[in-house]
Amino acid sequence: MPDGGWPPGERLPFIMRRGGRARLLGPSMADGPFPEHYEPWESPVFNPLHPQETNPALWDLEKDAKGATHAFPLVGTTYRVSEHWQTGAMTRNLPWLAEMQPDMFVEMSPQLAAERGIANGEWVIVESARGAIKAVAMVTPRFQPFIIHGETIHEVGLPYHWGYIGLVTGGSANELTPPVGDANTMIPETKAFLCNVRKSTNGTEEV
Amino acid sequence: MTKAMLIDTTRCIGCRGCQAACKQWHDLPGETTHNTGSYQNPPWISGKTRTVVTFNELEQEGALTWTFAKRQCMHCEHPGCASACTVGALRKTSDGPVVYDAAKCIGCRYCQYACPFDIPAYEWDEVLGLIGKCDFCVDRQGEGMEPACVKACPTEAITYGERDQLLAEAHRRIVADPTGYVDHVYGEHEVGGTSMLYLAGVPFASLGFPVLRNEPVSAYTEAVMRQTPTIALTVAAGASALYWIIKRRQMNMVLAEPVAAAPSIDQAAEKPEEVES
Repeated sequence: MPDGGWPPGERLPFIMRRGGRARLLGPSMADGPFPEHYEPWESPVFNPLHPQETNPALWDLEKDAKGATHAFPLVGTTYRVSEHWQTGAMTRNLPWLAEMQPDMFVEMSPQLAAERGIANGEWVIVESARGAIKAVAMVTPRFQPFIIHGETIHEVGLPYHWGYIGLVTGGSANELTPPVGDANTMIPETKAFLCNVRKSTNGTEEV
Repeated sequence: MTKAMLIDTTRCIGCRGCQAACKQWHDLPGETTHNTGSYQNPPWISGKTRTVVTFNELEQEGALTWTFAKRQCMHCEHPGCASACTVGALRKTSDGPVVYDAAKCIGCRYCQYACPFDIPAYEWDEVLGLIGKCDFCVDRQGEGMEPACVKACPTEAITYGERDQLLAEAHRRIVADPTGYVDHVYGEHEVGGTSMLYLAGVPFASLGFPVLRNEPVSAYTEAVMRQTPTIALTVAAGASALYWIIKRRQMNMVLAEPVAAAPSIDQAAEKPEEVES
């Protein structure tokens, strides 16, 4: 069913294509014609399919630093929560929504929290090659370590709704994310990057 | 016939639209909160928050479930709060809602102790605090509308209707999916039955619901509250008797002492007066 107001069966789902159908061959794509697997720009593992690690056509602005695995061993990803919209400029000013999601947080597995001595609900510092922010640690079994090529790789997840103005404020995940974009759309690669998490010496430590 | 709500926690996606809709309809302010390591916020019902969605991460048989349960006043058939209220500020209406009259409330908080669900919340941040509690949108119901939370729910996790019909629907869902639900409609028999009925895929105790007997709370509270005049009079009579005995002993001791021990009026008068210049 297409994403829109049409009843089922009336329109084909790929509404951006003239025929309404998906294509295996993608002419006019910067990185086509066939779909291919590349590792993200920053990745803790090698590409098992071929020696080309990352997409050679991606938009690389080369303005910011690239993190090394030994310094930033964790996979970071960003997402949204239902209480806030985009950077939260509007929703963080609504008291009913601000009370539900008041602070920037970082979700991690109990295994990673135990390794770093981090307790649920305490302030931690999340850093990448590009910046560092403070966030409340949310230790949850919903996150589990990956076992990739026999190695344990931890992932942390961050919402990206906080900023420096509003009823509630907090660190912006955009400080951490990489400066590269999709080869065709330039959509930034905010869903996979390298970072690290450490205990904050106290809750008021500046980053 | 009484109105009720059926809250199916297996359908809840934890969006908390009900929480915001409740505050909007009742014109309640947002609280100043902090993230405590959970999505659940405010942490529990308060004087300014009448419904809260709890976030429960449960691991059983190796599988992780994340169950969301909207909590609010259960609107008991025989409410303990109303039986404990000394001024009749809380009362069960014939339609189902347990309503609260702020004009009558004296802020004694007996209802908080009588409620087995930890629902009536006191306004601790007010100088003359009152009680805050879900009113089952009795004003909306009076206009033929469903409660604000039901209206806001996008997944029909909350449904509103006649209690007997919702009970039948709850049992129908359990029969239709016996592995998806625990065979228990919470609120059907708890404390004599409540207007809020719950379905869940995990045991209710693991979602923070109290395990309760089927007898109404009022059966206990009224037995105690009825004794109040007798106990008060007994204590007052006992205290008066004690006072009388102690006073009598003190009087006897004073009379037994020699009179010379007391300072005489003559000695006080001999103090030299200051000379005026």
